[in-house]
Amino acid sequence: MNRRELLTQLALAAGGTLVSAVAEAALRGAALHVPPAQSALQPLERELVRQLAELILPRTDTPGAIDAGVPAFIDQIVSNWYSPQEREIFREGLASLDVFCRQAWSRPFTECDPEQQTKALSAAEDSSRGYEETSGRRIRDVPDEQSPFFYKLKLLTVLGYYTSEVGSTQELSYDPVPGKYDGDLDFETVGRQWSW
Amino acid sequence: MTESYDFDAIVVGSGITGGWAAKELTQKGLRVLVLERGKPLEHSRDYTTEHMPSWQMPNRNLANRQLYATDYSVQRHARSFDYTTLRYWNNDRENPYVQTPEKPYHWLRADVVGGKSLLWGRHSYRWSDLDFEANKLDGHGVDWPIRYADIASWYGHVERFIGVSGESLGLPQLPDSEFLPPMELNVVEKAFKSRLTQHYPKRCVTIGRVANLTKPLGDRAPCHYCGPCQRGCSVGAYFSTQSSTLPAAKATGLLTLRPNSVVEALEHDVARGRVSAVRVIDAQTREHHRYTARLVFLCASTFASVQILLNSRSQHFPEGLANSSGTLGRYVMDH
Repeated sequence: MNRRELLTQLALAAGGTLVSAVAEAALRGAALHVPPAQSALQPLERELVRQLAELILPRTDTPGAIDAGVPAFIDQIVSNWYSPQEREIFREGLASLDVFCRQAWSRPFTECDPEQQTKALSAAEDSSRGYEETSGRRIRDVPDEQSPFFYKLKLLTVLGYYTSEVGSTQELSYDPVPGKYDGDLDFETVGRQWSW
Repeated sequence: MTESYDFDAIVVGSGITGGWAAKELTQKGLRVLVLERGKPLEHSRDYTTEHMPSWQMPNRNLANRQLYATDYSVQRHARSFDYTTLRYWNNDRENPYVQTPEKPYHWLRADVVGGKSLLWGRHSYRWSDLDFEANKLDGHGVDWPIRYADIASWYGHVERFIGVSGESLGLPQLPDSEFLPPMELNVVEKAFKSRLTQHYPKRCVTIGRVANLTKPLGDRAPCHYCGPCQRGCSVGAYFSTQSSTLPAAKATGLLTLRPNSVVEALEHDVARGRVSAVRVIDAQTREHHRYTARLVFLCASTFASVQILLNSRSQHFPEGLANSSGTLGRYVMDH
């Protein structure tokens, strides 16, 4: 039995249209690249986010950050979830990358070649070194609002990627209803880490 | 004197204990009213986040900071509190209580039919005489009036109905339950077990004993290993009031379930020396109701049950019911 059949059977067993709707939606997937209705980012900032996300998680033999809709996710979180302080840190971080590139190569980040962009991003990473998260609280609750730009960018990129449908089903292996427990599964039969 | 009661028994609370009381009493032929302060919740149909993938959750399940701060300032600390379970939990803004800054306390409360049985950890272990006799052997407190032998058969009565998976080991310190087949240790756990027992032959490694089915039980399907039990299980693979005791009680035709029913107080019948009525405020309409019964089972959780008793003041019991010593509400341990 494949996953679709199992989900359908479970939905039938539950006898509920809502459960069935959820199962169907899980198989169908949702819109990817829709930016938030209310964006706090300027068009240039959005382009910067798009290039940065792809720089961290480029397309290889698996989809990259852009394929997975990560830029729209970052836009949404920065615009509509971040506190004003977090948003300020994030936007200042974007601006400082541009400043770095203009000083080093006399052009904005978005016009630099990948090697230069990587250097700029590495500099941002270096400047955040030594920072230790003061909050031991879990990410999905209240991440450390004071964390530097690079932490925020990396966290949103990775979180956005691995919780996306593309990241969960193509980079990771997605099986919401395994149906059985195998405590010694041969990795070759899956070939990827499970999403959750 | 002929007496007419609204019900044979009233059960306050629909969590694990209340569900069991309702099942046992209705199956003995009693007409039972279950009062639940929380919202209605229909098994299966209302587990709308059960297999919801992360990309369909608002902000990928990042906390709704404003709402959690205003309405769930206590419940947000629960391990299983997030978007997928939010509707099962108590609204702290609507149900405030006093905490002292020196000794803050997180009072975790469910707010739906089924109570915390939907959200519990499902680990189910028998106590042994080591537990029942521990304080006596140490010379502390008052000796417990019961021993393992007194309740061993009742453990079995419950286990056969709820379904507990685990491994029989014959250990005196951890008596075996009436088990469904155990879940398997994974390859790492097996290696750990093997190394440990090489060095320490008497030490034991075994899979958790949990109220998760590994075989069908009645109408309930075995675990399909999706992971987040606390969202609710539409096939009833883990024990909750919703998956097992409530359906059994309903099947008798003798159950009346009343959600949104906040119990204000119990009424004590002085002449008969027992509780004879329950006063209720409807959480939605604010209407007052009064229900009478020959028996009342108070299964409203540790603190809420104490709260109800303390609120049940009368001329005979000015400090609350069952509180002539003034001890009620002290030395309480929540669970």
